[in-house]
Amino acid sequence: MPAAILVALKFIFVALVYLLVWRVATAVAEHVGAKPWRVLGGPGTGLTVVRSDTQNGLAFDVRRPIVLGRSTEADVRIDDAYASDLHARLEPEEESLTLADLGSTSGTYVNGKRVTAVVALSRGDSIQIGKTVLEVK
Amino acid sequence: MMRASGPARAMSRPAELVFVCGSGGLAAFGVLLVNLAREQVRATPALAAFLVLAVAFGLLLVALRAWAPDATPLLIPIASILAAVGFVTIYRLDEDLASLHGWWLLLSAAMAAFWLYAVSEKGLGHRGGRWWLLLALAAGLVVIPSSGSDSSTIWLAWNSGRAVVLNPGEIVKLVTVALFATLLSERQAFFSAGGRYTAPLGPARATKVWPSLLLLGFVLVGVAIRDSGTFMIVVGMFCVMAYMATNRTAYLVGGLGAGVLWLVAGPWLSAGLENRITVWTDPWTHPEGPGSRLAEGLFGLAAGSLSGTGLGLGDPDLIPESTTSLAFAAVGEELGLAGTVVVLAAYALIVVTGFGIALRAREVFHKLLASGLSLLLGGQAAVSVAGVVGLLPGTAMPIPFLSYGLSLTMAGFLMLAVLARVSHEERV
Repeated sequence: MPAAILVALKFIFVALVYLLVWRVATAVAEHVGAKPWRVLGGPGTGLTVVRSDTQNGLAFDVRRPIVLGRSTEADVRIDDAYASDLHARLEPEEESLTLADLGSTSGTYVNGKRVTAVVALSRGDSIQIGKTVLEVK
Repeated sequence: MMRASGPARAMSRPAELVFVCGSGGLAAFGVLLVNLAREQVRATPALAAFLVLAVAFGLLLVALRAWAPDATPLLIPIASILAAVGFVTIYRLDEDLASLHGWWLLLSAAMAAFWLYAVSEKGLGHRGGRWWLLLALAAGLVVIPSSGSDSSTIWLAWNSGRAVVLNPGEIVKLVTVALFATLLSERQAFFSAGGRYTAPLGPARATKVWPSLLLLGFVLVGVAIRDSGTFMIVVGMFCVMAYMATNRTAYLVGGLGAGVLWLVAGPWLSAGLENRITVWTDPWTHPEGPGSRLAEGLFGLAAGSLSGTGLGLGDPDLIPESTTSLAFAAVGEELGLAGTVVVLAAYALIVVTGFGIALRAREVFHKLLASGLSLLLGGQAAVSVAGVVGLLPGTAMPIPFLSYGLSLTMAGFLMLAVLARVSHEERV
Protein backbone atom coordinates (compact mmCIF):
# COMPACT_ATOMS: atom_id res chain seq x y z
CA MET A 1 0.00 0.00 0.00
CA PRO A 2 1.63 3.31 -1.05
CA ALA A 3 2.42 5.61 1.87
CA ALA A 4 0.59 8.53 0.27
CA ILE A 5 -2.71 6.64 0.30
CA LEU A 6 -2.20 5.66 3.94
CA VAL A 7 -1.59 9.31 4.83
CA ALA A 8 -4.76 10.33 2.99
CA LEU A 9 -6.74 7.59 4.75
CA LYS A 10 -5.34 8.74 8.10
CA PHE A 11 -6.71 12.23 7.51
CA ILE A 12 -10.05 10.81 6.39
CA PHE A 13 -10.27 8.78 9.63
CA VAL A 14 -9.61 11.83 11.83
CA ALA A 15 -12.00 13.91 9.73
CA LEU A 16 -14.72 11.31 10.26
CA VAL A 17 -14.22 11.49 14.03
CA TYR A 18 -14.50 15.28 13.85
CA LEU A 19 -17.64 15.03 11.74
CA LEU A 20 -19.35 12.73 14.25
CA VAL A 21 -18.30 14.84 17.25
CA TRP A 22 -19.45 18.02 15.46
CA ARG A 23 -22.87 16.46 14.84
CA VAL A 24 -23.23 15.67 18.55
CA ALA A 25 -21.84 19.04 19.57
CA THR A 26 -24.55 20.93 17.69
CA ALA A 27 -27.20 18.70 19.28
CA VAL A 28 -25.67 19.25 22.73
CA ALA A 29 -25.66 23.01 22.15
CA GLU A 30 -29.40 22.82 21.52
CA HIS A 31 -29.84 20.59 24.58
CA VAL A 32 -28.17 23.05 26.94
CA GLY A 33 -30.06 25.95 25.41
CA ALA A 34 -27.32 27.72 23.48
CA LYS A 35 -28.88 29.52 20.52
CA PRO A 36 -27.24 29.47 17.10
CA TRP A 37 -25.49 32.80 16.65
CA ARG A 38 -27.17 33.63 13.36
CA VAL A 39 -30.53 33.93 15.08
CA LEU A 40 -29.32 36.64 17.41
CA GLY A 41 -29.67 40.10 16.09
CA GLY A 42 -31.71 39.01 13.06
CA PRO A 43 -34.94 40.71 11.98
CA GLY A 44 -37.65 40.61 14.62
CA THR A 45 -35.27 40.58 17.60
CA GLY A 46 -34.71 44.30 18.10
CA LEU A 47 -36.93 46.96 19.68
CA THR A 48 -37.18 50.72 19.21
CA VAL A 49 -39.02 53.18 21.41
CA VAL A 50 -41.40 55.03 19.08
CA ARG A 51 -43.43 57.05 21.60
CA SER A 52 -42.10 58.39 24.86
CA ASP A 53 -41.57 61.75 26.55
CA THR A 54 -37.85 61.29 26.97
CA GLN A 55 -36.70 58.09 25.22
CA ASN A 56 -37.85 58.43 21.61
CA GLY A 57 -35.56 56.53 19.23
CA LEU A 58 -33.91 54.36 21.93
CA ALA A 59 -33.14 51.01 20.23
CA PHE A 60 -31.79 47.73 21.57
CA ASP A 61 -31.43 44.08 20.54
CA VAL A 62 -32.66 41.21 22.67
CA ARG A 63 -29.85 38.64 22.79
CA ARG A 64 -30.72 37.18 26.18
CA PRO A 65 -33.74 37.39 28.49
CA ILE A 66 -34.16 41.00 29.58
CA VAL A 67 -36.53 42.82 31.92
CA LEU A 68 -38.09 46.19 31.11
CA GLY A 69 -39.13 48.49 33.94
CA ARG A 70 -38.82 51.75 35.78
CA SER A 71 -36.37 50.44 38.41
CA THR A 72 -32.60 50.71 38.05
CA GLU A 73 -32.58 46.93 38.46
CA ALA A 74 -34.33 46.49 35.12
CA ASP A 75 -32.09 45.64 32.17
CA VAL A 76 -33.70 48.40 30.09
CA ARG A 77 -35.06 51.37 32.04
CA ILE A 78 -38.42 52.70 30.89
CA ASP A 79 -38.69 56.35 31.95
CA ASP A 80 -42.45 56.39 32.42
CA ALA A 81 -44.42 57.19 35.58
CA TYR A 82 -47.02 54.55 34.66
CA ALA A 83 -44.49 51.72 34.26
CA SER A 84 -43.92 49.30 37.16
CA ASP A 85 -40.45 48.75 38.62
CA LEU A 86 -40.07 45.37 36.89
CA HIS A 87 -42.75 45.55 34.24
CA ALA A 88 -42.27 42.93 31.53
CA ARG A 89 -39.77 40.33 30.37
CA LEU A 90 -38.55 39.70 26.81
CA GLU A 91 -36.89 36.44 25.79
CA PRO A 92 -35.25 35.47 22.52
CA GLU A 93 -36.82 32.32 21.07
CA GLU A 94 -36.28 30.49 17.80
CA GLU A 95 -35.94 33.45 15.41
CA SER A 96 -38.38 35.65 17.34
CA LEU A 97 -39.11 37.15 20.75
CA THR A 98 -41.58 36.32 23.47
CA LEU A 99 -43.05 38.80 25.91
CA ALA A 100 -44.45 38.20 29.39
CA ASP A 101 -46.02 40.70 31.77
CA LEU A 102 -44.45 40.55 35.23
CA GLY A 103 -47.64 41.43 37.12
CA SER A 104 -47.40 45.13 36.36
CA THR A 105 -50.00 47.54 37.75
CA SER A 106 -50.89 49.22 34.49
CA GLY A 107 -50.48 46.15 32.27
CA THR A 108 -48.60 45.47 29.05
CA TYR A 109 -50.37 45.75 25.68
CA VAL A 110 -49.35 44.15 22.38
CA ASN A 111 -51.12 45.74 19.37
CA GLY A 112 -53.67 47.14 21.82
CA LYS A 113 -54.48 43.82 23.53
CA ARG A 114 -53.56 43.31 27.16
CA VAL A 115 -50.96 40.55 27.69
CA THR A 116 -52.16 37.79 30.04
CA ALA A 117 -49.89 34.90 29.08
CA VAL A 118 -46.55 34.63 27.29
CA VAL A 119 -47.01 35.95 23.74
CA ALA A 120 -44.79 35.54 20.71
CA LEU A 121 -43.87 38.79 18.97
CA SER A 122 -43.32 39.33 15.31
CA ARG A 123 -41.82 42.17 13.33
CA GLY A 124 -43.94 45.30 13.39
CA ASP A 125 -45.79 44.51 16.63
CA SER A 126 -46.16 47.42 19.00
CA ILE A 127 -45.75 47.02 22.73
CA GLN A 128 -47.25 49.53 25.14
CA ILE A 129 -45.91 49.95 28.65
CA GLY A 130 -47.57 52.79 30.53
CA LYS A 131 -47.55 55.63 28.01
CA THR A 132 -44.40 54.36 26.26
CA VAL A 133 -44.73 52.48 22.97
CA LEU A 134 -42.03 50.23 21.53
CA GLU A 135 -41.97 48.61 18.12
CA VAL A 136 -40.42 45.27 17.14
CA LYS A 137 -37.87 45.82 14.37
CA MET B 1 -48.06 28.61 24.94
CA MET B 2 -44.64 27.40 24.06
CA ARG B 3 -42.90 24.26 25.24
CA ALA B 4 -46.26 22.67 25.94
CA SER B 5 -44.96 19.29 24.86
CA GLY B 6 -41.49 19.67 26.32
CA PRO B 7 -38.36 20.73 24.51
CA ALA B 8 -37.91 19.44 21.00
CA ARG B 9 -35.61 16.44 20.70
CA ALA B 10 -32.12 17.47 19.69
CA MET B 11 -31.62 14.18 17.88
CA SER B 12 -34.36 11.77 16.83
CA ARG B 13 -34.28 8.07 17.68
CA PRO B 14 -33.61 6.97 14.08
CA ALA B 15 -30.83 9.58 13.86
CA GLU B 16 -29.35 8.09 17.01
CA LEU B 17 -29.36 4.62 15.48
CA VAL B 18 -27.74 5.91 12.30
CA PHE B 19 -25.16 7.65 14.45
CA VAL B 20 -24.32 4.52 16.42
CA CYS B 21 -23.94 2.62 13.14
CA GLY B 22 -21.66 5.47 12.02
CA SER B 23 -19.48 4.87 15.08
CA GLY B 24 -19.42 1.18 14.18
CA GLY B 25 -18.35 2.17 10.67
CA LEU B 26 -15.62 4.35 12.15
CA ALA B 27 -14.29 1.41 14.16
CA ALA B 28 -14.42 -0.83 11.07
CA PHE B 29 -12.59 1.79 9.00
CA GLY B 30 -9.93 2.15 11.70
CA VAL B 31 -9.40 -1.61 11.94
CA LEU B 32 -9.15 -1.77 8.14
CA LEU B 33 -6.52 0.99 8.19
CA VAL B 34 -4.47 -0.83 10.83
CA ASN B 35 -4.45 -3.94 8.63
CA LEU B 36 -3.66 -1.94 5.50
CA ALA B 37 -0.63 -0.49 7.25
CA ARG B 38 0.51 -4.08 7.80
CA GLU B 39 0.03 -4.77 4.08
CA GLN B 40 -3.00 -6.93 4.79
CA VAL B 41 -6.53 -6.66 3.49
CA ARG B 42 -8.82 -8.40 5.97
CA ALA B 43 -12.54 -7.85 5.99
CA THR B 44 -13.45 -10.09 8.94
CA PRO B 45 -11.89 -8.02 11.77
CA ALA B 46 -13.39 -4.85 10.35
CA LEU B 47 -16.82 -6.44 10.12
CA ALA B 48 -16.44 -7.75 13.68
CA ALA B 49 -15.53 -4.27 14.91
CA PHE B 50 -18.59 -2.78 13.22
CA LEU B 51 -20.86 -5.47 14.67
CA VAL B 52 -19.49 -5.14 18.22
CA LEU B 53 -19.97 -1.36 18.33
CA ALA B 54 -23.33 -1.36 16.57
CA VAL B 55 -24.75 -4.25 18.60
CA ALA B 56 -23.48 -3.01 21.99
CA PHE B 57 -24.73 0.55 21.58
CA GLY B 58 -27.78 -0.57 19.60
CA LEU B 59 -28.74 -2.78 22.52
CA LEU B 60 -28.45 0.21 24.84
CA LEU B 61 -30.65 2.26 22.48
CA VAL B 62 -33.29 -0.48 22.42
CA ALA B 63 -33.22 -0.69 26.23
CA LEU B 64 -33.61 3.10 26.49
CA ARG B 65 -36.47 3.04 24.03
CA ALA B 66 -38.21 0.35 26.11
CA TRP B 67 -37.53 1.46 29.67
CA ALA B 68 -36.50 5.12 29.54
CA PRO B 69 -38.15 6.51 26.39
CA ASP B 70 -37.86 10.16 27.48
CA ALA B 71 -34.12 10.02 28.08
CA THR B 72 -31.86 12.52 26.37
CA PRO B 73 -30.62 11.14 23.03
CA LEU B 74 -27.15 12.67 23.28
CA LEU B 75 -25.19 10.48 25.67
CA ILE B 76 -25.06 7.25 23.69
CA PRO B 77 -23.74 8.82 20.46
CA ILE B 78 -20.82 10.56 22.21
CA ALA B 79 -19.88 7.44 24.15
CA SER B 80 -20.06 5.38 20.96
CA ILE B 81 -17.50 7.61 19.21
CA LEU B 82 -15.09 7.31 22.14
CA ALA B 83 -15.62 3.56 22.32
CA ALA B 84 -14.95 3.27 18.57
CA VAL B 85 -11.65 5.19 18.84
CA GLY B 86 -10.74 3.13 21.92
CA PHE B 87 -11.53 -0.15 20.18
CA VAL B 88 -9.35 0.75 17.20
CA THR B 89 -6.48 1.74 19.52
CA ILE B 90 -6.72 -1.52 21.46
CA TYR B 91 -6.97 -3.54 18.23
CA ARG B 92 -3.89 -1.84 16.88
CA LEU B 93 -1.92 -2.77 20.02
CA ASP B 94 -3.19 -6.29 20.65
CA GLU B 95 -5.71 -8.15 18.51
CA ASP B 96 -6.54 -10.77 21.14
CA LEU B 97 -7.14 -8.10 23.74
CA ALA B 98 -9.42 -6.30 21.31
CA SER B 99 -11.59 -9.35 20.78
CA LEU B 100 -11.88 -9.68 24.57
CA HIS B 101 -12.69 -5.99 24.80
CA GLY B 102 -15.43 -6.55 22.24
CA TRP B 103 -17.01 -9.10 24.56
CA TRP B 104 -16.69 -6.69 27.49
CA LEU B 105 -18.48 -4.01 25.47
CA LEU B 106 -21.34 -6.40 24.71
CA LEU B 107 -21.48 -7.66 28.30
CA SER B 108 -21.46 -4.12 29.73
CA ALA B 109 -24.22 -3.03 27.36
CA ALA B 110 -26.27 -6.04 28.48
CA MET B 111 -25.62 -5.12 32.14
CA ALA B 112 -26.67 -1.51 31.57
CA ALA B 113 -29.78 -2.68 29.70
CA PHE B 114 -30.63 -5.01 32.59
CA TRP B 115 -30.12 -2.18 35.09
CA LEU B 116 -32.48 0.03 33.06
CA TYR B 117 -35.06 -2.76 33.15
CA ALA B 118 -34.57 -3.31 36.88
CA VAL B 119 -35.18 0.32 37.83
CA SER B 120 -37.94 0.88 35.27
CA GLU B 121 -40.63 -0.34 37.66
CA LYS B 122 -40.04 1.84 40.70
CA GLY B 123 -37.66 4.48 39.41
CA LEU B 124 -34.55 5.90 41.06
CA GLY B 125 -36.15 6.38 44.44
CA HIS B 126 -34.53 7.71 47.57
CA ARG B 127 -35.17 4.41 49.28
CA GLY B 128 -32.50 2.80 47.17
CA GLY B 129 -29.98 4.62 49.36
CA ARG B 130 -29.43 1.75 51.75
CA TRP B 131 -28.57 -0.55 48.89
CA TRP B 132 -26.00 1.84 47.49
CA LEU B 133 -24.47 1.92 50.96
CA LEU B 134 -24.27 -1.85 51.25
CA LEU B 135 -22.83 -2.15 47.76
CA ALA B 136 -20.14 0.43 48.53
CA LEU B 137 -19.31 -1.38 51.75
CA ALA B 138 -19.05 -4.71 49.96
CA ALA B 139 -16.86 -3.26 47.24
CA GLY B 140 -14.68 -1.59 49.88
CA LEU B 141 -14.27 -4.94 51.65
CA VAL B 142 -13.22 -6.50 48.38
CA VAL B 143 -10.61 -3.81 47.79
CA ILE B 144 -8.81 -4.10 51.13
CA PRO B 145 -7.59 -7.70 51.03
CA SER B 146 -6.84 -7.75 47.32
CA SER B 147 -3.16 -8.10 46.64
CA GLY B 148 -0.87 -6.00 44.47
CA SER B 149 0.70 -3.79 47.10
CA ASP B 150 3.54 -2.61 44.90
CA SER B 151 1.49 -0.53 42.52
CA SER B 152 -1.71 1.42 42.47
CA THR B 153 -3.50 -1.04 40.21
CA ILE B 154 -5.90 -3.23 42.07
CA TRP B 155 -6.70 -6.26 40.05
CA LEU B 156 -8.71 -9.17 41.27
CA ALA B 157 -7.65 -11.93 38.93
CA TRP B 158 -9.75 -15.03 38.56
CA ASN B 159 -7.08 -16.90 36.73
CA SER B 160 -3.42 -16.33 36.14
CA GLY B 161 -3.88 -14.97 32.63
CA ARG B 162 -4.71 -11.36 31.88
CA ALA B 163 -8.07 -12.56 30.62
CA VAL B 164 -10.56 -12.07 33.41
CA VAL B 165 -9.62 -9.40 35.88
CA LEU B 166 -11.84 -7.17 37.90
CA ASN B 167 -10.95 -3.77 39.27
CA PRO B 168 -13.41 -3.04 42.08
CA GLY B 169 -12.14 0.54 42.30
CA GLU B 170 -14.16 1.43 39.20
CA ILE B 171 -17.40 0.22 40.76
CA VAL B 172 -16.48 1.81 44.10
CA LYS B 173 -16.30 5.23 42.41
CA LEU B 174 -19.66 4.85 40.71
CA VAL B 175 -21.41 3.57 43.83
CA THR B 176 -19.91 6.20 46.12
CA VAL B 177 -21.19 8.98 43.86
CA ALA B 178 -24.68 7.49 44.09
CA LEU B 179 -24.19 7.18 47.84
CA PHE B 180 -23.07 10.81 48.19
CA ALA B 181 -26.07 11.94 46.18
CA THR B 182 -28.38 10.00 48.49
CA LEU B 183 -26.67 11.18 51.67
CA LEU B 184 -26.44 14.81 50.64
CA SER B 185 -30.00 15.06 49.37
CA GLU B 186 -31.51 13.32 52.41
CA ARG B 187 -29.44 15.15 54.97
CA GLN B 188 -28.94 18.46 53.22
CA ALA B 189 -29.75 20.40 56.37
CA PHE B 190 -27.09 18.61 58.34
CA PHE B 191 -24.38 19.13 55.76
CA SER B 192 -25.19 22.79 55.25
CA ALA B 193 -25.31 23.43 58.99
CA GLY B 194 -21.90 21.85 59.33
CA GLY B 195 -20.59 21.63 62.86
CA ARG B 196 -22.20 24.83 64.05
CA TYR B 197 -25.75 23.73 64.66
CA THR B 198 -25.31 20.08 65.53
CA ALA B 199 -26.29 20.61 69.13
CA PRO B 200 -29.51 22.60 68.57
CA LEU B 201 -30.56 20.10 65.91
CA GLY B 202 -30.35 17.46 68.57
CA PRO B 203 -28.27 14.33 68.95
CA ALA B 204 -31.04 12.23 67.44
CA ARG B 205 -30.41 13.74 64.02
CA ALA B 206 -26.69 13.46 64.37
CA THR B 207 -26.75 9.79 65.29
CA LYS B 208 -28.64 9.08 62.10
CA VAL B 209 -25.84 10.60 60.09
CA TRP B 210 -22.73 9.39 61.83
CA PRO B 211 -23.10 5.67 61.04
CA SER B 212 -23.36 6.48 57.37
CA LEU B 213 -20.32 8.72 57.62
CA LEU B 214 -18.39 6.04 59.46
CA LEU B 215 -19.15 3.51 56.75
CA LEU B 216 -18.16 6.04 54.19
CA GLY B 217 -14.87 6.63 55.97
CA PHE B 218 -14.32 2.91 56.03
CA VAL B 219 -14.77 2.66 52.28
CA LEU B 220 -12.51 5.65 51.75
CA VAL B 221 -9.75 4.19 53.91
CA GLY B 222 -10.13 0.86 52.15
CA VAL B 223 -9.60 2.51 48.84
CA ALA B 224 -6.77 4.68 50.15
CA ILE B 225 -4.71 1.74 51.28
CA ARG B 226 -3.96 0.57 47.77
CA ASP B 227 -5.49 2.77 45.17
CA SER B 228 -4.55 6.40 45.66
CA GLY B 229 -6.06 7.47 42.32
CA THR B 230 -9.49 6.18 43.29
CA PHE B 231 -9.04 7.72 46.75
CA MET B 232 -8.28 11.12 45.24
CA ILE B 233 -11.31 10.90 42.97
CA VAL B 234 -13.66 9.78 45.75
CA VAL B 235 -12.54 12.50 48.20
CA GLY B 236 -12.67 15.10 45.43
CA MET B 237 -16.16 13.97 44.42
CA PHE B 238 -17.36 14.25 48.02
CA CYS B 239 -16.03 17.78 48.42
CA VAL B 240 -17.42 19.02 45.10
CA MET B 241 -20.80 17.35 45.56
CA ALA B 242 -21.11 18.64 49.14
CA TYR B 243 -20.30 22.11 47.81
CA MET B 244 -22.95 21.78 45.11
CA ALA B 245 -25.52 20.58 47.64
CA THR B 246 -24.84 23.18 50.31
CA ASN B 247 -23.09 26.11 48.60
CA ARG B 248 -20.56 26.10 51.44
CA THR B 249 -17.08 26.98 50.15
CA ALA B 250 -15.58 25.25 53.19
CA TYR B 251 -15.97 21.91 51.40
CA LEU B 252 -13.99 23.10 48.38
CA VAL B 253 -11.25 24.60 50.54
CA GLY B 254 -11.15 21.40 52.58
CA GLY B 255 -10.86 19.30 49.43
CA LEU B 256 -8.00 21.38 48.07
CA GLY B 257 -6.30 21.24 51.46
CA ALA B 258 -6.62 17.46 51.49
CA GLY B 259 -5.08 17.34 48.00
CA VAL B 260 -2.09 19.42 49.06
CA LEU B 261 -1.71 17.36 52.24
CA TRP B 262 -1.76 14.20 50.12
CA LEU B 263 1.02 15.51 47.90
CA VAL B 264 3.13 16.60 50.89
CA ALA B 265 2.49 13.75 53.31
CA GLY B 266 1.94 10.96 50.77
CA PRO B 267 5.62 10.15 50.20
CA TRP B 268 6.11 9.50 53.94
CA LEU B 269 3.14 7.18 54.08
CA SER B 270 3.86 5.03 51.08
CA ALA B 271 7.05 4.21 49.25
CA GLY B 272 5.16 3.59 46.01
CA LEU B 273 3.71 7.05 46.14
CA GLU B 274 7.10 8.63 46.85
CA ASN B 275 8.46 6.78 43.84
CA ARG B 276 5.70 8.09 41.61
CA ILE B 277 6.14 11.68 42.76
CA THR B 278 9.91 11.48 42.13
CA VAL B 279 9.23 10.13 38.66
CA TRP B 280 6.68 12.85 38.05
CA THR B 281 9.08 15.65 38.95
CA ASP B 282 11.90 14.16 36.85
CA PRO B 283 10.96 11.41 34.38
CA TRP B 284 14.21 11.73 32.42
CA THR B 285 16.60 10.60 35.13
CA HIS B 286 15.56 6.97 34.76
CA PRO B 287 13.70 6.83 31.46
CA GLU B 288 14.32 3.09 31.23
CA GLY B 289 13.22 2.23 34.75
CA PRO B 290 10.50 3.72 36.89
CA GLY B 291 10.24 6.82 34.75
CA SER B 292 9.39 4.86 31.63
CA ARG B 293 5.62 5.30 31.95
CA LEU B 294 5.71 9.05 31.81
CA ALA B 295 8.74 9.27 29.51
CA GLU B 296 7.47 6.78 26.91
CA GLY B 297 4.03 8.39 26.98
CA LEU B 298 5.57 11.79 26.29
CA PHE B 299 7.74 10.29 23.53
CA GLY B 300 4.59 8.80 22.00
CA LEU B 301 2.75 12.12 22.07
CA ALA B 302 5.80 13.86 20.58
CA ALA B 303 6.10 11.26 17.82
CA GLY B 304 2.45 11.83 17.00
CA SER B 305 2.96 15.56 16.50
CA LEU B 306 0.05 17.39 14.83
CA SER B 307 -1.69 14.74 12.76
CA GLY B 308 -0.16 11.51 14.09
CA THR B 309 1.87 8.79 12.46
CA GLY B 310 -1.26 7.15 11.09
CA LEU B 311 -3.05 4.07 12.41
CA GLY B 312 -0.74 1.08 12.52
CA LEU B 313 2.26 3.16 11.48
CA GLY B 314 3.61 4.35 14.85
CA ASP B 315 5.18 2.44 17.72
CA PRO B 316 2.65 2.80 20.53
CA ASP B 317 3.54 -0.74 21.65
CA LEU B 318 6.66 0.80 23.19
CA ILE B 319 4.48 2.72 25.66
CA PRO B 320 3.88 0.67 28.83
CA GLU B 321 0.25 0.14 29.83
CA SER B 322 -0.78 1.64 26.50
CA THR B 323 -4.06 -0.29 26.46
CA THR B 324 -5.08 0.93 29.92
CA SER B 325 -3.78 3.97 31.78
CA LEU B 326 -1.70 5.35 28.90
CA ALA B 327 -4.29 4.79 26.18
CA PHE B 328 -4.40 8.53 25.63
CA ALA B 329 -0.69 8.51 24.69
CA ALA B 330 -1.34 5.70 22.19
CA VAL B 331 -4.14 7.74 20.59
CA GLY B 332 -1.84 10.76 20.54
CA GLU B 333 0.96 8.87 18.80
CA GLU B 334 -1.12 7.53 15.90
CA LEU B 335 -3.79 10.23 15.54
CA GLY B 336 -1.73 13.17 16.73
CA LEU B 337 -2.89 16.39 18.35
CA ALA B 338 -5.87 16.37 15.98
CA GLY B 339 -7.03 13.06 17.46
CA THR B 340 -6.39 13.92 21.11
CA VAL B 341 -8.20 17.26 20.83
CA VAL B 342 -11.33 15.65 19.42
CA VAL B 343 -11.22 12.97 22.12
CA LEU B 344 -11.03 15.66 24.82
CA ALA B 345 -13.90 17.51 23.13
CA ALA B 346 -16.01 14.35 23.31
CA TYR B 347 -15.40 14.08 27.07
CA ALA B 348 -16.29 17.74 27.48
CA LEU B 349 -19.53 17.11 25.59
CA ILE B 350 -20.47 14.26 27.94
CA VAL B 351 -19.86 16.53 30.94
CA VAL B 352 -21.88 19.36 29.38
CA THR B 353 -24.77 17.01 28.58
CA GLY B 354 -24.69 15.60 32.11
CA PHE B 355 -24.74 19.08 33.64
CA GLY B 356 -27.57 20.02 31.29
CA ILE B 357 -29.56 17.14 32.78
CA ALA B 358 -28.60 18.18 36.32
CA LEU B 359 -29.49 21.84 35.77
CA ARG B 360 -32.95 21.01 34.49
CA ALA B 361 -33.71 18.35 37.08
CA ARG B 362 -36.13 19.35 39.83
CA GLU B 363 -35.28 16.81 42.52
CA VAL B 364 -32.14 17.46 44.55
CA PHE B 365 -31.20 13.78 44.46
CA HIS B 366 -31.40 13.75 40.66
CA LYS B 367 -29.42 16.97 40.41
CA LEU B 368 -26.63 15.62 42.58
CA LEU B 369 -26.60 12.22 40.91
CA ALA B 370 -26.40 13.63 37.38
CA SER B 371 -23.81 16.30 38.16
CA GLY B 372 -21.79 13.88 40.30
CA LEU B 373 -21.68 11.21 37.60
CA SER B 374 -20.73 13.67 34.86
CA LEU B 375 -18.01 15.09 37.09
CA LEU B 376 -16.79 11.59 37.87
CA LEU B 377 -16.56 10.71 34.18
CA GLY B 378 -14.92 13.99 33.22
CA GLY B 379 -12.72 14.00 36.31
CA GLN B 380 -11.44 10.51 35.69
CA ALA B 381 -10.66 11.36 32.07
CA ALA B 382 -8.95 14.59 33.21
CA VAL B 383 -6.85 12.85 35.90
CA SER B 384 -5.87 10.13 33.42
CA VAL B 385 -4.86 12.61 30.72
CA ALA B 386 -3.06 14.78 33.30
CA GLY B 387 -1.11 11.69 34.35
CA VAL B 388 -0.13 11.02 30.73
CA VAL B 389 1.04 14.54 29.93
CA GLY B 390 2.73 15.02 33.31
CA LEU B 391 0.43 17.61 34.85
CA LEU B 392 -0.24 15.31 37.82
CA PRO B 393 1.72 12.41 39.26
CA GLY B 394 0.78 9.26 37.32
CA THR B 395 -2.11 7.59 39.06
CA ALA B 396 -2.32 4.63 36.66
CA MET B 397 -5.92 5.59 36.04
CA PRO B 398 -7.52 4.22 32.87
CA ILE B 399 -9.62 6.55 30.77
CA PRO B 400 -13.34 5.69 30.47
CA PHE B 401 -14.54 4.22 27.14
CA LEU B 402 -11.05 4.50 25.61
CA SER B 403 -9.06 2.04 27.72
CA TYR B 404 -9.30 -1.73 27.84
CA GLY B 405 -11.00 -3.24 30.89
CA LEU B 406 -14.12 -5.05 31.97
CA SER B 407 -14.77 -3.07 35.16
CA LEU B 408 -14.02 0.22 33.48
CA THR B 409 -16.31 -0.48 30.52
CA MET B 410 -19.04 -1.75 32.80
CA ALA B 411 -18.82 1.30 35.06
CA GLY B 412 -18.90 3.56 31.98
CA PHE B 413 -22.01 1.95 30.55
CA LEU B 414 -23.72 1.96 33.94
CA MET B 415 -22.95 5.68 34.28
CA LEU B 416 -24.56 6.29 30.90
CA ALA B 417 -27.60 4.25 31.96
CA VAL B 418 -28.00 6.15 35.25
CA LEU B 419 -27.64 9.54 33.52
CA ALA B 420 -30.17 8.48 30.90
CA ARG B 421 -32.56 7.27 33.60
CA VAL B 422 -32.31 10.60 35.47
CA SER B 423 -33.03 12.51 32.26
CA HIS B 424 -35.98 10.18 31.58
CA GLU B 425 -37.50 10.74 35.02
CA GLU B 426 -37.05 14.49 34.77
CA ARG B 427 -38.19 14.60 31.12
CA VAL B 428 -35.33 16.88 30.12
